Amino acid sequence: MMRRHAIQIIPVIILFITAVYAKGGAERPTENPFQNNESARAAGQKLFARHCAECHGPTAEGTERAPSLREFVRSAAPRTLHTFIKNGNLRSGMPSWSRLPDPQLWQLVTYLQTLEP
Amino acid sequence: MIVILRIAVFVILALGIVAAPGLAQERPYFVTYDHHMEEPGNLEVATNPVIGQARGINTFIGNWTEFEYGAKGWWTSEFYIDSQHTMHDNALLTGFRFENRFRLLLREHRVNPVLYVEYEHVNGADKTLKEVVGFDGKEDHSEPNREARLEHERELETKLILSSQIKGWNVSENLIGVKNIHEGVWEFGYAFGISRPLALAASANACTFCRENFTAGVELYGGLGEWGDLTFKGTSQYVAPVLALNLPGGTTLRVSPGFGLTDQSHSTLVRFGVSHEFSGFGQQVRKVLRRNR
Repeated sequence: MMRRHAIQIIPVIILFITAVYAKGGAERPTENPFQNNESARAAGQKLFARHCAECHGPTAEGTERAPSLREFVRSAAPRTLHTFIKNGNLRSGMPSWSRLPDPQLWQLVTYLQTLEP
Repeated sequence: MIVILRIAVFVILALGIVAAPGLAQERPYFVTYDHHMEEPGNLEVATNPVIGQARGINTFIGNWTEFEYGAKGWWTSEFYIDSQHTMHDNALLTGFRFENRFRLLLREHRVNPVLYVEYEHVNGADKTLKEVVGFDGKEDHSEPNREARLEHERELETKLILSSQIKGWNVSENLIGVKNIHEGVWEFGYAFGISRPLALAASANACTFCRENFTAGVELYGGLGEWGDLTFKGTSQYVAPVLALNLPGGTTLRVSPGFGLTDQSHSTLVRFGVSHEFSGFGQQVRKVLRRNR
């Protein structure tokens, strides 16, 4: 009997959570909350080494797998960079990094924008 | 089973020689899929044992060993080898699966759809419980292996994966349809997962056990009956908390104690997962092939 009640709750839980997140809507990037934050830059450097350096090189100078980021990141607005990392370019082989939470994407942006051209 | 685990370890070590470790963040779920694809050119090797217990059947360990390759940013291919060991019975290979996932929208949206198509050739002794459909239940696992292995199933499995990232949370729903290629009707199932990293921002220091490396969540999955008889009645249903640790270096450890919610379900399904990602595997293979030409 207890099990029968438990199973009836499943659709209710799914509907409730779906409704909550549908109402929440997609995240829209705003200004970089970590601008000029040294700790965020260090965290971004760690994230870059972990997720990006394999293709873009340890200091974003580029490899045979992916181009240098140094020029691009200096000229791009923080919001543009954030959106680009999040969406990637799936046709050209740049993966989407939407699996990283927003604060980590901003930490990456913070680090990238401190790179010298 | 031990032989299979040894082979998996050997393959991982051999791949380690030709490819650098990758550093992706893996999904914490065992049954539910999200919309995140394998990075192009990367290969992930994983082994995922599940221990199943229920009254009236022998405890078993099912296992799938998987090879996941990022063919394109929007296309991931996987090959699985299934096996099992049942207490007071024997151990055996139970078949293989070949799956492809296609991301339908190339940019992030509120809901991101992915189409999943899989061909599986397994026998009746398969106990991986990688998904639950139709009226699958613990009774299916009560037959001795020597009899169950004689049933051969060639099935086409399709899934519609819907997945969203909302303020650090991942919410994923999968609708599953399975059809035996030669006979029978479509069987349906579902999986639903929600998870979140324990910390959204990364710490500045290098660390292994910091909170951002852990992801916790829960998944619900079960059968929905079959064509002409869509129902929860008589189906297996499970709820399973999940916990994953993404280690720096490309290895992910996962654990999930699952609990049956209906009389047809196993009492517990405890799952473990170890995966390792090899970055640039495709490029390395292409290089070797070019050199040999």
